[in-house]
Amino acid sequence: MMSEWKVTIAVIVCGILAYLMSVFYPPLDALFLALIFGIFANGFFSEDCKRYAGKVLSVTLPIGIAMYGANIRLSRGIPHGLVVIAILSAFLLWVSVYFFSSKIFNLNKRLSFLLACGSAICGASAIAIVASLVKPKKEEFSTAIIVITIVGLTGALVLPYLSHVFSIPLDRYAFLCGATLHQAGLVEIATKPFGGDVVKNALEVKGVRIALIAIIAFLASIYYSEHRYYVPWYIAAFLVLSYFSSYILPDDILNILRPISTIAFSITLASVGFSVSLKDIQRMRFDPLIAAYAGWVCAFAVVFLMVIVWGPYS
Amino acid sequence: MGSIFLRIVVASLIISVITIALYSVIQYLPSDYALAYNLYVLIIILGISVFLAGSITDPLERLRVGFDHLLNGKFVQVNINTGDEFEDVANFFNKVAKELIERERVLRETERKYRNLIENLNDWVFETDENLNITFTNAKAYDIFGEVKIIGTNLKELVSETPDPNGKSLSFEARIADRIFEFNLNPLHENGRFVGYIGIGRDITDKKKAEERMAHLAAITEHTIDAIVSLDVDGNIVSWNRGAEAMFGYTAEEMIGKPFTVLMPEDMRELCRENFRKAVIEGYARDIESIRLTKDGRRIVVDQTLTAIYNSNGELTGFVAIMRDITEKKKSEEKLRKAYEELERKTSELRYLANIVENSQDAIYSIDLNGKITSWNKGAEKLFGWKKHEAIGMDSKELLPEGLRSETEHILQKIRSNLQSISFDGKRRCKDGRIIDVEVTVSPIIENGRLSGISVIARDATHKVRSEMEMIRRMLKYRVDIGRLYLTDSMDVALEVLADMTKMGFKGTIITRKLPEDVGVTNSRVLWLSERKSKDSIPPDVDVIEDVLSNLPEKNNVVILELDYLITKVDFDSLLSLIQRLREDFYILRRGVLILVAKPDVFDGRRYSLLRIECEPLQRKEVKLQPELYELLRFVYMKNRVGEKPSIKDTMDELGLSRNTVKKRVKLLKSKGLINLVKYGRSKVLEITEEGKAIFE
Repeated sequence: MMSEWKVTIAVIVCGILAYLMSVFYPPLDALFLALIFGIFANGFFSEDCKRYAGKVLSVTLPIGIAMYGANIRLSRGIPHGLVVIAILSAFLLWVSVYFFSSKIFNLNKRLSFLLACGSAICGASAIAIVASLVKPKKEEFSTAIIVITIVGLTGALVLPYLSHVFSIPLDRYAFLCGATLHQAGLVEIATKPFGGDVVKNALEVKGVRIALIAIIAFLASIYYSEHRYYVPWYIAAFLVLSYFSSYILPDDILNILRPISTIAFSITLASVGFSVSLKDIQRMRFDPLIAAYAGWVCAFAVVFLMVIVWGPYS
Repeated sequence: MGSIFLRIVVASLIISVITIALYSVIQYLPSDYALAYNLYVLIIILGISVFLAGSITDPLERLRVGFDHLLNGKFVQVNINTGDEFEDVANFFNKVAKELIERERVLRETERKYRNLIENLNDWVFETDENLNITFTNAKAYDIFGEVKIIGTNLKELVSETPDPNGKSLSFEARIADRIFEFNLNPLHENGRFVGYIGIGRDITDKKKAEERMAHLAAITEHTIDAIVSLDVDGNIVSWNRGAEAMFGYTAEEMIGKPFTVLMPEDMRELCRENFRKAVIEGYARDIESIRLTKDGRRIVVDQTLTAIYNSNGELTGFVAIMRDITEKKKSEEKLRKAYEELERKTSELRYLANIVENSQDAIYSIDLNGKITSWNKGAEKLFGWKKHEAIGMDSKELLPEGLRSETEHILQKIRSNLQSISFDGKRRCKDGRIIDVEVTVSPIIENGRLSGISVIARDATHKVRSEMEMIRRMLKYRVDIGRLYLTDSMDVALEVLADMTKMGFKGTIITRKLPEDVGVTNSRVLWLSERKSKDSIPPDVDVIEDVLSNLPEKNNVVILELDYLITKVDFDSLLSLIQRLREDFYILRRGVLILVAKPDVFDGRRYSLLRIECEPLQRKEVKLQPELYELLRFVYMKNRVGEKPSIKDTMDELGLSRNTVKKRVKLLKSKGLINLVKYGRSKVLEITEEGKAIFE
C-alpha cells in the first residue's frame, strides 16, 4: 500500500514539475517533460514499487484522457481545403508509418497501430488514448512512446532548418509543421521562433489532426473491443469535453480548465513514463525507431512536396 | 569477434553522425531556445543510442532468455542470424542446451524410473540420519505400519529389534505385526563422516515359511514310509531314504552308486533298462505298478512314480522314484474285488429275487412289528384286491376275517419266541369282503440281528383246502374238521379217530398217562405224562405241554391230550387257559385236530361244562358198511383218486392184513358192487365202482 502511494506521489510530482517547467520555460513541452521525468523517476524506485506503476496508470490514464479533451481546440473557420489537406497528411502519415512498421520491418500490428496513430494524430497523447483500447504489451507501449518522442523531436529540430534551407514561406511552414509534427508541443517548439501567428496557424492545422483522435478512438474501440460499438467512458468524456472546449465553453472557464487538463495529462504521461522499462525497449531493437523514422520521412516528403508545389491554400 | 566490433564501431559512427547533424541543424535555429534544442538533441541521441544498443545486445538478451529457460529446465531454440560470433555462440548454446535438456530428460526419466522402482518395490526402502530418525521412505512403509507418521520417526520406535547405530552395516530380523522382516542397513557417508543409513526391510515371512516347509518336506522325505530314491541319468542310485531302507532292507551305504535294476527280479531287468532309456529320452515316465525284490528275496508290489529332475538350464539331471509298497493293498484289493463281485452277484440275485417276489403269483407282503403292512407285491394285489398304495401302511388285521383278527399277534408272538418260519392254512379277507383259504408261510425278517417284521407268502388254496377238508370229512369215520377241538370221555374213541386220521396222512401225537405200550399205537408219537423224566415222558406242566404242541408240524396233526391225570397236577383255570390257547392255535393255524379225553367224573359238573363249551363232541358217521370193509374201500378210493390202482398185496401191506382176509373183504365189497378186481398187466388191481364212490361223495 505504501509503495503504491509512493509511486502515485512520484508521478504526480513529475507531472506538476513538468507543467511548472513548461510554464517558466515555454520551449519545453509539459507533456514531453512529464514523460521524460517519469522514465527517469522509474530508475529511483525499487522493483517492488515498479509493480504498482500499472495500477497507478490504470487510474491516471482515464482521468488524464478525459481531462485532455479540454486542451483540444477543434478548428473553427479554417478553409476547407486546408482541412482536407491536413486530414490527407494525417492519413498519409498513418498509412506510411503503419506500412513501414508492419510490412517492411515486420513489427506486430498493435505496435504498428500505436506508431501510426502517434505519428498521424498527436504523438504520445494519441498513443496513450489508443493504447487504452488496443491493450498492447508493456514494452510495445513504452517503445511506441519513446520512438514517437524521438522522431517528433527530430522533426521539431529539422523542420526549422529545412525552412531556412528551402526558404519556405511562413504560412506554408506553419501548415507543414501542423500537418507533420507529432505533438502540439513539438509544433509549438518548431514554430515559436517564427512568431505567434505561425504558432497559431500551425496549431490550427494540428487541431484538425488532433480532432481525428475522436474518429480513431471510435474506430479502435469498435475494432479492438470485445463487445461491438463499445466506447470507454473516458473516450466518450474526452470527445465530449473536446467538443465543449472547442465550441461551447467560454474562454474564462477554459483558461482555468486547460492548465488543470494539462497537469492531469502530464501526470498521466509521467505514469506512462514511469511504467516504461528501458530494458523492455532495448529488447525491441532498432526496428521500431527506423520504421517510425522511415514512415514519417516518406509521408513528410509527400506533404512537403504538396505544400511547396501546390501550397496549402490552393 | 571482428563482426561485433564492427557493429559497435558502426553504431558509434551513426550516433556521432546524427549528433553532428543535429548540432549542425540547431546552429541555424534561434539562439533563444538553444538550451531546449540542446536538451532535445541529447534526448534524441540518448533514445537512438538505447535502441542501437538494444540491437547490438539483442542476441545477448536472447541468449539470456535462453539461459533463463534452460535454468528452468526448458529448452528454447535461440535463433540468431547475425552471422557473427553471437550466431556461433547461439548455435553452440543451442547444441549444449539441447544436450543438457536431453541429459536432464534422461536423468529425470531415470530418476522417475528409479523412483517408481523404489516406490513400487515390495520391500521397505528408507533412509535415516545417524540417530536412526527416518528421513526418507517409500510407500511400502504405509502398507507395513498403516497411516502413521514415518518421516521423522525413529526406526526403533517402529522396529523395536533395531540395534544401536554404530556407523557399520546392520542386519537383523524383526517381527512386525504377524510378519517377519529382514533388515539390512548400510551406512551413508558424506566427506568421510557417517551421516545415516540406507536400509531395506524385506518381508521374509513367506520365505521363512517356505524354508520351514522345505525342512518339513525334507523330514517327510527322509522319514516317509514311501521309498524315495533319486537316480542319475545312468540309472544309478544317488540317494536312498529311510523309507527305502525299511521297504527293501538295504541301507543307503549299500545302495548309493548301485544301478536301480538290483531291485528288479532277474527277468524284468532288461525291460526296466529299456524303459529307463525311454524315460531319459522322453523326459518323463508313466506311473507304474511293478514287482521289486527286497534284500531278503521277497517279491513286493510297488506303486512307482518316476519324476524327471531338471537343472536351472533345463537339462535332465536324473529322476526321483517314489515307491509305495502296495503288496498288502493289492491283496486287499483282490479281496475287495471278490467281495464286490459277490456283492454284485448277490445284488443281482436280490434284484432277481425281488423281481420274482414282485411278479410272483403268490401274494407276498411284509408286516412290521406293529402289524402294519410294509410291502405288497402284485400277487397280493391280485389275490386280495388292495392296490399297493392302499395296502402299504394298512393294518394287517384288515386282511383277517372276524374271529381271526388276533392271528398277526399270535404269529408275531410265535416268531419272536423261536424266529422260525411258520406254514399253515389260513383264511384271508379280500377287499370285496370275500373270505378265501390260503396257504400261508410266515418268515421272520431279521435286520441287524433283530426281528424287524415278518414276511408273509400267501397262496390261494380255497379250492384245494375245501376239497381236502371235504375229502377228509368224507373219508373219516368221525365227523371232524381241521382246526377244531373235540372232547370225548373215551380214550378208545380218541385212539380210533387218531388211527383213522393217521391212515389219512395225519401225524399223531398222544399225551397220556397211559404207558406207551398200553396205548398200542405204533404210527404216532406217545408222550407219557409223568413227573419222571425219561425219553418219551412229558411233565404235567401246562407250559411244557403247550411248548410241545406248539412245536408240532405246521398242519395235519391229530393230537390226543388226556386230561384226567393232568387235572390232578394243575389247577383247572390253568388247564382251561391252556385249552383255550391251543384252541386258538389250532384254529388259526389250522394245524389239525386236537382231541381232549376227560372223564366227567374226574371233573365236577361245572368244569366239565366249561370244557364242553370250548370243545365239540366226537360224532361217528353213519355208514352201512362194516368198519373193516369201509376201511378197505376207503383205501382203494383214496388210491384211485390219485390215479393209482392198488393190488391185493398193496392192500395187505397198507392195512396190515393177510392175503386171505383181504381177498375175503374184497369179495364181499365186490358182491355189493362197490369195487372191481380188474386185470392190470400180469397182476390184478382193485378199482372202485361208481357205487362205491357214492359212499364217499
